[in-house]
Amino acid sequence: MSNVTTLNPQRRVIQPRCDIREEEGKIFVNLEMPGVQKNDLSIHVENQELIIEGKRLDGLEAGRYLLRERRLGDYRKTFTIDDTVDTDKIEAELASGMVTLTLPLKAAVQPRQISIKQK
Amino acid sequence: MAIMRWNKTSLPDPFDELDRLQEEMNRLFGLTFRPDSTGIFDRSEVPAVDLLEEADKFLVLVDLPGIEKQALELTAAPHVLTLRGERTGTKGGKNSKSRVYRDETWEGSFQRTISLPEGADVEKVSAELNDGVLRIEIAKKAELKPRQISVVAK
Repeated sequence: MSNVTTLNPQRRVIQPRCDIREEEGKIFVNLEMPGVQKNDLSIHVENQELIIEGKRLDGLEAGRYLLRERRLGDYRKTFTIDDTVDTDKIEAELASGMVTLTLPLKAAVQPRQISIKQK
Repeated sequence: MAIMRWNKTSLPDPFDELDRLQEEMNRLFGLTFRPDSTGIFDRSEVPAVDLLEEADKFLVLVDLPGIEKQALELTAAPHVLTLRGERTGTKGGKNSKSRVYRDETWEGSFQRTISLPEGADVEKVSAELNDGVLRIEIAKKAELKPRQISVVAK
């Protein structure tokens, strides 16, 4: 595990729910991170680990809670990636609390069509 | 509208009955902290909701990652707030060529009803959606707001 973290160790860390799928030579990762803004999202690759961290700025409200179901805290998720992923070309997008990562696979590991010659 | 989402664990669970019994007991003794928000439209996969009371208003916070403003519908009736919505397109559509490795989020429609405490003025509701968090403010009726009473010295 990597020790480099930008999160405050005092706060609770939540593993966001995620989807992973592979499509046409790319891996797509969706992560649910409600309450995170673009500037508070950090995505980095380190020692074959993809680390996604999101700071949530909204905390407990001052009022009296009558119902409390939301889990509040910072988000952190790590994935081990191998060298089939082209780490230089990872793209990330954040829209309404949902992070979408696109990890392209290296050309060498993508299936290649081989043409068959007929004699 | 899909009223209920197909539930993967459709087999009867003996613990459900125990949960229900416990819920019933809690309600009987007034130990429950939740307003009666369970109903046939509520499913296991509904967004998490916080409800707070502040000095001059009630505040409802709902986590709705990946849901756009257009896909949300909020209606207020006396004592009840109903939130309907739909989340689509987060899973990239149905594609037979895609291989799924992990599937933890949900897609589809949901409905959530929230019982409002006495004194919530449903005529004065405002809602704002930011970064996947919906913030609904419901004003308190005037008679319930703390009132400053001036003391006159004679």
